[in-house]
Amino acid sequence: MRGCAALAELLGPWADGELDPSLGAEMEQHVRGCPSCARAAEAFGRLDDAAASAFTTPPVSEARWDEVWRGIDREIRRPRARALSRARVWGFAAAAVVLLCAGAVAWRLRPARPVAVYADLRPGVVEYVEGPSDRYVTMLSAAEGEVPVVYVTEVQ
Amino acid sequence: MPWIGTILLLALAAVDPGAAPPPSVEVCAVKVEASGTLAAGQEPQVPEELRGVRKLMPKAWTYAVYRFLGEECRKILLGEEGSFTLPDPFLLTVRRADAGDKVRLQYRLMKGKETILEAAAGLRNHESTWVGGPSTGNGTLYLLLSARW
Repeated sequence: MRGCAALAELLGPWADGELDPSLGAEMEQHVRGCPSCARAAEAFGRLDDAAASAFTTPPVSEARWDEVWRGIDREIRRPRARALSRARVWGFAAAAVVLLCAGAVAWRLRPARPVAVYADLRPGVVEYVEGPSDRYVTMLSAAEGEVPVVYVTEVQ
Repeated sequence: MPWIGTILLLALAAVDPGAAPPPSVEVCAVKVEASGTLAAGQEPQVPEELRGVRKLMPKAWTYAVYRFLGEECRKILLGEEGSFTLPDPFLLTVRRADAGDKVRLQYRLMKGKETILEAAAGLRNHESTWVGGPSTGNGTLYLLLSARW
């Protein structure tokens, strides 16, 4: 049988259950008969309990878990939201281009004037007609009540 | 009594039909291309843009198809000139020189650099006149010139 001095350094491993069974049985037998080693073993036990309680994670409430999951969800959604907003920007830009093109086409194809604007015109008077070129013949046609016409025709 | 004469003069001035045109007059040119010959009983093809112009066309015209080539309007000040783009190679320039209650439009039709026509029209507000005859290759070009203020 080993004495206190030889077994003192094994008290810690024994209290933690780390000794092999034969050495553990020897330690148990010694501690039963040795009050000082029994106190030391008890102190090791209290130390282990204190350490265990010190590193034990307190329980997390449901509300806290909900908050955590909401945070994770926000983090997951954030990049997707950015991509979506980028897509929206492109969508708006494309829509703007389409609208501009449609507007330009509509502007180009618009009727020059409302029909009524031309309908209110009346015949004017042609004061003189001159054909400065010998290759062209000019002629005035002014029927009663009609808009007069100045014709210019190239001589073939 | 002298005041009666003054009132009469003021009344005449208020309804003076011979008032001069304003400084800025809008001169418009409606460009039309006419082609084909109308068969008996056939109605000419007139696009929507020219429906209002249809009744201003001389009854002697027997074209089968009218095409609207566009419209240009210019604000022309007294003594100034405006030009109107026509199918290549034609160009119309219009100079304004008023006479009394009329706007006198002195216009020149050019084919390239050659002047093929010089004419003048006296137009009151909302009056118009036609000029045309040159061949565009696809038909005959006509312009309805009008002035409004």
